[in-house]
Amino acid sequence: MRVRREPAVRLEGQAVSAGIATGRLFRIDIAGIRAYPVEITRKEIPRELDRLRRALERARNQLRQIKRKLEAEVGGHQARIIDAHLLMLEDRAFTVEVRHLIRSESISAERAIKSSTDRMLVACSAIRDPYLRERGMDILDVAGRLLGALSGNGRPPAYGLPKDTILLADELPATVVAELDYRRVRGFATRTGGWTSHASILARSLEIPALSGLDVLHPALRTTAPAILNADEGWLLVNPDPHQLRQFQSGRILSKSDPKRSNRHSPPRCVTRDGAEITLRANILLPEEAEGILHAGAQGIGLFRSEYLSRQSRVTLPDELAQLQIYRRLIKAAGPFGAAIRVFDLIPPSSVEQTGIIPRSDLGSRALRSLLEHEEIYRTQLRALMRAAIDGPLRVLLPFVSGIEELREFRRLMTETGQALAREGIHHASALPLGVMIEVPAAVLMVDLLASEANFLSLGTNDLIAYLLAVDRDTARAGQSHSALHPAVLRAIAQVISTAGRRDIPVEVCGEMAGNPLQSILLIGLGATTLSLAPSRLPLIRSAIRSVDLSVVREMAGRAVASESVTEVERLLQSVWPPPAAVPKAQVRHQG
Amino acid sequence: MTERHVTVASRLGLHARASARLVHTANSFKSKITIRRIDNGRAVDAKSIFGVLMLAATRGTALIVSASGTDEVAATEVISTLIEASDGGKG
Repeated sequence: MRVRREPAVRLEGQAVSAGIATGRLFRIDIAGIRAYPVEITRKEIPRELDRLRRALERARNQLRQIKRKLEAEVGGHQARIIDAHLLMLEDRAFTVEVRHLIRSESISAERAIKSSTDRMLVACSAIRDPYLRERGMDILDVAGRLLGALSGNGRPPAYGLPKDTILLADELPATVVAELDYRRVRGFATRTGGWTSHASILARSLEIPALSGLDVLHPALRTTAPAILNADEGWLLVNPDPHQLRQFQSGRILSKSDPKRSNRHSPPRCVTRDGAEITLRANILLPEEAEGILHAGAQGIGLFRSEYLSRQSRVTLPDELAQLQIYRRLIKAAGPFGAAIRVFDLIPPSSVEQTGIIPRSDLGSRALRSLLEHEEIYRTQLRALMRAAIDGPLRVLLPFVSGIEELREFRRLMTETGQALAREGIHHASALPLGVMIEVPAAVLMVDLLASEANFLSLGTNDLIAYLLAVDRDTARAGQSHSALHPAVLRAIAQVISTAGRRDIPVEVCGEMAGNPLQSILLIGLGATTLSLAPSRLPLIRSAIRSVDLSVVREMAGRAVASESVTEVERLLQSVWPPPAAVPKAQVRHQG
Repeated sequence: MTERHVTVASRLGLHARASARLVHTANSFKSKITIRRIDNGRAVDAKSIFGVLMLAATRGTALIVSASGTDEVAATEVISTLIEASDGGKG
């Protein structure tokens, strides 16, 4: 006898916290603040003001509790965002307005709160900066809490969660995540919220698998529907067949039976089908992103672009101590594998600000080409780097190098800086490994010389493609796959990798090619053994690499290097990609 | 009244945590403290978190901090320093 089942539906999403979870869906509504069109009589106004006062008090107590819980479980840094929420509840501009609305318009406290926060949300949605616009989420979060408190709800809403819950929501405010009973939550599936959203960072700290960018309104996503959430590969499978479910459940017992215990859980390995191990590292844009990368399967940080600390020269560069704190934080997040920190890639500021692109005339003074002019800036940065390196392995990466002098100059500066620190009696690590970015075509031609003096090489494919093919960066990006597959690019990459191999120094690839599944396959075929990519791409690239045989892609890449055209390279790639399905197939059928 | 021109230094602008710190500090002064954007003239009360968030000041935004009251000099000084501080480690 066959049991009738709902059809299986598979949805793709972006992994924001790695891992695999099985459970049942549970949808929560946070954003949908209902309207409360309740008008009150004049006599009821004092009662309404009193309700508001008590709700504010109750909401404050809840937040203080959440803050303590966060401090105890994930540390003070995360807990500090609750401060902003507490201040909102204490904000006189806000409370005075709500009271005034209750009095002057004879409306309920709920409606007054909604009216006041709606106005702010509208203003917030007009903010152009995406990070600050996200603060609308905080306002919504606070408003929701206050409305809950008004209805006498003293218990956090998540208390009643069934066990093995995969939480489904349009978006998840950090305070809601913080309140959850983690033992019952197996995974998060949301529509919004990127890698750096507070909720994603918390999910990684708590080692709960999470997917974002999902079509959460899909009709198959009903509360109580069984599901497998695979954040290692970026999909959610609803109504899986019992066989698949069993497979993953047993897998879960192996890897994440208890999220509280899974600190020992080692990240998924990235190995080709024929057993070759490929090292994946993370490219980090903001220090915040680095949290949780080890759990996501990154073996340390392959690239931190330090100039993000000082995007515009109008603003002063962070001083030595400020830099030191940031580098320490990165080293801690990178764990035993260490972090590669690229020194400031200073671009003459005036032109960048106006046009966003680098005019050719300014290239001549980019990065270390103006080392002598900016010696003090690099000296300060080196001091911070050398002091931070006491905490753990740290590698220094030089951008935009075109010849050996830049490397020698920088090494001299490092020696001098070390001597100065020693004279001052400041504890530091003396000789940090120095690596060279290979991103200027001249560096490819000089790679034998560079490899004889550098400690490692890092291929920056974005600039390399742009300057090798003489297309501007935006064009290179728009036609990314086309440009990246140009045989000239492949020859340059192959030459760099084989030279580094002969000199026996490590070479990493950290450009966007490394984060593209098809191109990552090509890169390992060309001999790359370490790729560094955006943390959110890790699951995608890992599953791509796990699905191929190194021997097969080696052979293919060998022929690609000898190809005459992009078209020929594309044809060769198609012969090995996509590989025979490695992910469980589900019938993608829609209900009704 | 005391005034000072400042530029936002934090990478993420006056984000939630930075704003919280700023508002906390502002509330420790007696003076009335106002922060005004130079580009559009919008002014907000530095003691209101909603006000500061709505200012939407990203990195590099030019602002004028002004305070009036018994401790206006110290208030202007301290608030300006906070806005000009880059994120030394904690955001």
